[in-house]
Amino acid sequence: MAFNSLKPPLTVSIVALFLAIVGSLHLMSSATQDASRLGQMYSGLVLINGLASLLLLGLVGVNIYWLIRQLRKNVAGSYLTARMIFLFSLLTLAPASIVFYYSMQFLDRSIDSWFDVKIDHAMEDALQLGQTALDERMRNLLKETEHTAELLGTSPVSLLTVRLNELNQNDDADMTLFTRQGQIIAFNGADTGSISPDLPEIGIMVQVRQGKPYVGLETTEHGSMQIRAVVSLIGDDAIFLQAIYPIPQRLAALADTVESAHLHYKELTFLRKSLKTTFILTLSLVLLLSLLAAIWAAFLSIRRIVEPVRLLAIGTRAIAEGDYEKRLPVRDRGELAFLVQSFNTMTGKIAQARDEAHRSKLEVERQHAYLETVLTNLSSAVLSLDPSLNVLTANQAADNILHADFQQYLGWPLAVLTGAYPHLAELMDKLEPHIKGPAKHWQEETTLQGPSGRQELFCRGTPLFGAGDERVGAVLVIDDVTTLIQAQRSTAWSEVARRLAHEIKNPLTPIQLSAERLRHKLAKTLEGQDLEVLEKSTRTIVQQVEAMKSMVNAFGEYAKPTITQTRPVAINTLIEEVVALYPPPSGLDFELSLAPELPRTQADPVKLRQVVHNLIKNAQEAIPSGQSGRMSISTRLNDDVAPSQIELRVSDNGPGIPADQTDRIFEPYVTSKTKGTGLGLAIVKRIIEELGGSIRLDTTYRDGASFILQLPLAPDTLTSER
Amino acid sequence: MAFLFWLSSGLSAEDYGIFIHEANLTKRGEQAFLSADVEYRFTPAAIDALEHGIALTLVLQFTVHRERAYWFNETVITERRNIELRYHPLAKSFQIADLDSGAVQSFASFAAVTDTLSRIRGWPIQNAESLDSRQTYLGRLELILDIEALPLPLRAEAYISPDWRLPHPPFEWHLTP
Repeated sequence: MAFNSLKPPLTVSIVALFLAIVGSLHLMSSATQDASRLGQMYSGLVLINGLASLLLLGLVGVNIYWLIRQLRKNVAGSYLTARMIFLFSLLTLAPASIVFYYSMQFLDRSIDSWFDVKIDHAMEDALQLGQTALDERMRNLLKETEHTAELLGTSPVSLLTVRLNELNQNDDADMTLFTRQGQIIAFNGADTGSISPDLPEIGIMVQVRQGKPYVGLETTEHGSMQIRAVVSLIGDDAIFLQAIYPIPQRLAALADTVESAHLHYKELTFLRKSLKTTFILTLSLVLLLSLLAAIWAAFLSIRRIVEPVRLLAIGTRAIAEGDYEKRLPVRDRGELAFLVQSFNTMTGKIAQARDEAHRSKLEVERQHAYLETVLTNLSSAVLSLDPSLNVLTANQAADNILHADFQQYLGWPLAVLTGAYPHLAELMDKLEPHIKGPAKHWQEETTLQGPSGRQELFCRGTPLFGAGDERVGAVLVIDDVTTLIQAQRSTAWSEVARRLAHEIKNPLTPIQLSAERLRHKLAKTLEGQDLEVLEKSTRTIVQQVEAMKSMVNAFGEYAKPTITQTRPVAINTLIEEVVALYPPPSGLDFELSLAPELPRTQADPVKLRQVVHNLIKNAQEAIPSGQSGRMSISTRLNDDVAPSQIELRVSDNGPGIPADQTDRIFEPYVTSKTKGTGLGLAIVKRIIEELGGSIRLDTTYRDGASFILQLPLAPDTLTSER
Repeated sequence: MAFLFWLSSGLSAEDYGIFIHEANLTKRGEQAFLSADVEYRFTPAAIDALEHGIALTLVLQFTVHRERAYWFNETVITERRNIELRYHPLAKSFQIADLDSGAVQSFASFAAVTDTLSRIRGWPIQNAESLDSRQTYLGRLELILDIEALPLPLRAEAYISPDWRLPHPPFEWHLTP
């Protein structure tokens, strides 16, 4: 953060860069235009601007490379940046190129327009004119010098100085006599400033030595012009005469003007091509630099502009991926920043809504789990159906009570279910009108003929309504009340037995005693037929009272609460012992089918023995006298249920149980036989239930009566089994 | 063929330049004088420019270093002279102007100019009194055509174009004043 705050703002940097570029370009263009001090900096400026162009080119290149990589990676905002950069570059490039093209054209033509054949000629002519005028003067002065040399040639060497002074009439001329070795013999000059005379250069001397006089125009150190004439003295070529004549100021000035103008023009003509090249170079550099700077600045500013859009794209992607915690940084103001801010607000609200939905979902799941637990642990079967009678849910109790695997048929219609479990067809046919009927609560008691016998069911139903009061299905609650009803009946019978014992048995003894006393007293007084009647009547009373007594005792036995002491019992042995008590003369033929290595059952052996006795007796009594009775007893381990049980099946070939008695056969005094107390099966059932087992009539058995008993295994057997 | 062409072009590149064949520094009393024999082979482009009124500036750079084994050489003397060559169309003459002293010499031909410039004799060198006669120094003389002194439009071309390339190998020698 500290680093960021220290960084100069982007706009300031860009403005500074632009100022630097413009300054440098201005300097360069100024240098191009005049050859002043700036002219000396030109090469440096070109170099600096060239380097700046390279730097910018590098920056732009790096930026383009970066952009292409972002485009390849499909980074958010890169496409927009690329489009904007392209558009911006096009907008910059097009006008700049047009301006550049026309500037080049203009430059080319305007530079060419400086030059003209006429002016060219005029310049040459002016120079020639000047040369002619000066040539004329030079010829005259040469003649004059030659004349002087001629005159001097006749003089002896010792008088040369004197003669020279005499002959040099012209005040302005410097005359020098010197030898071949450059030794000065005599000097006569107006110019007192020059102490040592300016001798001619070697080239001139070579020419003069060959006998050719020299005359030439020269420019002095001070910029003035002079004519130098060098001749050898006649007759003695070892001595030379040099005369230097100044040009009159007026003429010199004119000649100078003509010459400098000519030079300047010639220089311009010579530099025409180079000038164009230089201008083009400068212009191109200006264009290149400004274009590159503009594109680079475009990269910087567009990146800033696109930043919020890029952030939005990233944010949207994050939301699409389910990250609602994403918050985008808001950097500056403006519409786009407002968008980013709104996005943050929206994300916050979505996150809030998501959290709430999550909480609600958790609550619903909790409720659902709670309901599931309740339903699973409920002893009532709970089924829910949709309007088309498809099974939606079913609890464990439904599987147990209705003997069907509902979990496999969830989502399937009831018809499919009844197809797989035919024993449910009758029940469902009975319930269907209620489910489809008027939308109200209903209940019905019905029976189910299940695989384990007849069951008493108490069914209740409630239609389900959706949010718009339309029916979305129904809930069925089914209770198995078989045990309850049986218990009620047992209790009722126990009460009857207790009452009978109390209300009936008590008066029986006085009745018997009274009858016997009546016989004893009246037997002495009566005789004949009367005595016979008395004897017969009192005997009947006593006999019947005895019968009633034994009946009430048997009934009391049934109703009396008993104490059972269970222990592991080998049932096969027990059966064999009991059957041994019924030898062939008893009229029964036994068929034993006992499973070998059968685990022991947990039971009270005395009571279990009574059960077997009662069942055999029941068969004995059912078989009409004179008919040979056959009885089959089989045992097996029933693994179909959990935990495993011992199944004992006892069947006879008697007349069987009438259909109307099948459901009540285990109740007291429900019997189809002529003999017996009518309590045998009731007692069997009570004992079996006390032992934790069950007994039912096998209604599918057609050759007589068949009972199926289920007995629990002894605990040690159970553990060993596991 | 191509090889021959390459060879000839290679030779032609060596045809132009400013070559110093001999140079020495002599000390007379406290004053030191530089003498040198130089060969000038100007390119046609340079001579053409001169004849079109463009002045050529030659820079003579003379330095004397004291050699040091442990560190960079110490520069004892630095002498720089600027000489301008000009053409006067009116007089059809060439001029050598010493830009530092202002002395001007005129010549009828360019050959006379190069001839004069090829013999550098007795050029006085400043600060020569610091030279120790018991020591050996490293003298370095260089003559350069100053492109920066050319008119601005010509500079870019002179820097880039081979027509203007004038090799100017410096002449180095050990001197004991």
